[in-house]
Amino acid sequence: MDAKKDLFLPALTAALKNKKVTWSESLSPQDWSSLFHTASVHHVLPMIYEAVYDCPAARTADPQIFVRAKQQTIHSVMLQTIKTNEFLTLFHHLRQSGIKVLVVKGIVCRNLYPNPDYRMSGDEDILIPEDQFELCHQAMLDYGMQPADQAQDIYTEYEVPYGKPGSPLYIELHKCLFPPKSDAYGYLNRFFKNVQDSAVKLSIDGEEIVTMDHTDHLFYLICHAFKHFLHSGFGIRQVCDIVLFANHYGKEIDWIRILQQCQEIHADVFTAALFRIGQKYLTFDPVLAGYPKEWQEIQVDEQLMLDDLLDAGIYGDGTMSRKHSSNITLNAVSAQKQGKKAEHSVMKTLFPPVKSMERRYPYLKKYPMLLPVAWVSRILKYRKEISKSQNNDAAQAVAIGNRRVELLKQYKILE
Amino acid sequence: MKLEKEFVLREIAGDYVIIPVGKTVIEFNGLITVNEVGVSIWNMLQNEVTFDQIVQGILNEYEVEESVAREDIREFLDQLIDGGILTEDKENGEE
Repeated sequence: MDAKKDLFLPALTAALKNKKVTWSESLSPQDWSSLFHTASVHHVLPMIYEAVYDCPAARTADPQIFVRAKQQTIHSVMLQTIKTNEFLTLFHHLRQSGIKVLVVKGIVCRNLYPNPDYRMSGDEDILIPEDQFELCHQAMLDYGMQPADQAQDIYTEYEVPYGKPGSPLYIELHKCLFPPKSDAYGYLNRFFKNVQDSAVKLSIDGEEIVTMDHTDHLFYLICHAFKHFLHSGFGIRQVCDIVLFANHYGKEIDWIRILQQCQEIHADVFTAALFRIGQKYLTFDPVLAGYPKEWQEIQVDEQLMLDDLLDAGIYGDGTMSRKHSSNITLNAVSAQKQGKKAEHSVMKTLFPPVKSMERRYPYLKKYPMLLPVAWVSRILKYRKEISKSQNNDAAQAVAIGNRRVELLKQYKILE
Repeated sequence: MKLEKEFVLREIAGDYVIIPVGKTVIEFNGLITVNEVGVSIWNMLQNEVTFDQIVQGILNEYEVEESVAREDIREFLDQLIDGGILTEDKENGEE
């Protein structure tokens, strides 16, 4: 039995439909553990647990198998309920302070799930006009939020995280949606320059929030998944978000514009594969979504992508080697953008250029000549990570990276 | 008597859990789960209600002796009051 395809995906589909599975055949303790482990890695444990805990097969299993998963489910849903409530209050405060804040992803997607607080969000993302940052920062401080990274130069960074003492609320405040200095995907920002002009209002839990219009938002969700695919992969939860969004708002979406934009960024085959996965394994309904024939006619084998994302975890963080493989894939994409052939090698993975290192080692912005020091720090940290965990060595990272470069070629992202 | 607004009741994985929201998140560190009878009482407490009204409501819904119902309801309400979830008026109609 392939636990991921035979158990995990059917359970997830049931959850998306607000139904429970009806499995009657006994499952081994290993199968149950594997199911809950996969669900945890993909941050969908509450949904999976809710869909399976009361089925005939579960009732005949050893209850001890379910104790930890149940505790984690209750804890996660409680936490999400608290975060959702607090976020809506913060949003209201920011709008009252005159800030043109748009909510992206997070609660907008979560609201589409049958049990919204079962869809976990580590943080909430908000987008503001860059020239409103000072006003917004003050409003955040007035609310009790504080910059989460004290070392960060909040006035020059494109994305500023905030936390609040005593609260689980964590906000990513965006001045633009993608890191502008990234060779691999910084250019994506141009598609979202005017989103404020076409913003729409949604009602969530009795509160009015403002977000991008549905076409922009769907394209953003696709770009966000695409960005993670370029790194080390994305998880099934992002597919669920996109599928539910398309099903719900599909008739209002300009699918042809999305196709044209996807073609511009070489993400059309990638996106078609994503919707094919949604249709075959989840709840994507092309008729309900108004998914046009121009999209349906795109020839694609979605199996490779499905295998990749099931292996990847929520943001391609399934294993440390997988995470480190992103250096290779991003190098390959950046090189193509610069008209070069990518040299994906151990040397480039171990000794990346200064621009790739600045975020983790901010002193490089002021002292780029300290790049060799940063390399050594990074390698020592890498070795420390290796000694702490399994599934983590440079050779494996390179192997995964090379394999994923081939995957990017399969989906016509790379030539 | 009335519930403090900054608590909600949610069913999670077959259990009913009282969750603090708003400012009470910082003050409230516990986890309270309730059974079906507790859910019935919680639903009645959404409106201003007296102790005797709660007892009558439970007697209407469940087959239980009145003295047992009174004792169990009292215990549950005291737990909510101790947790800062419920505010009880001085004259609550309790006999």
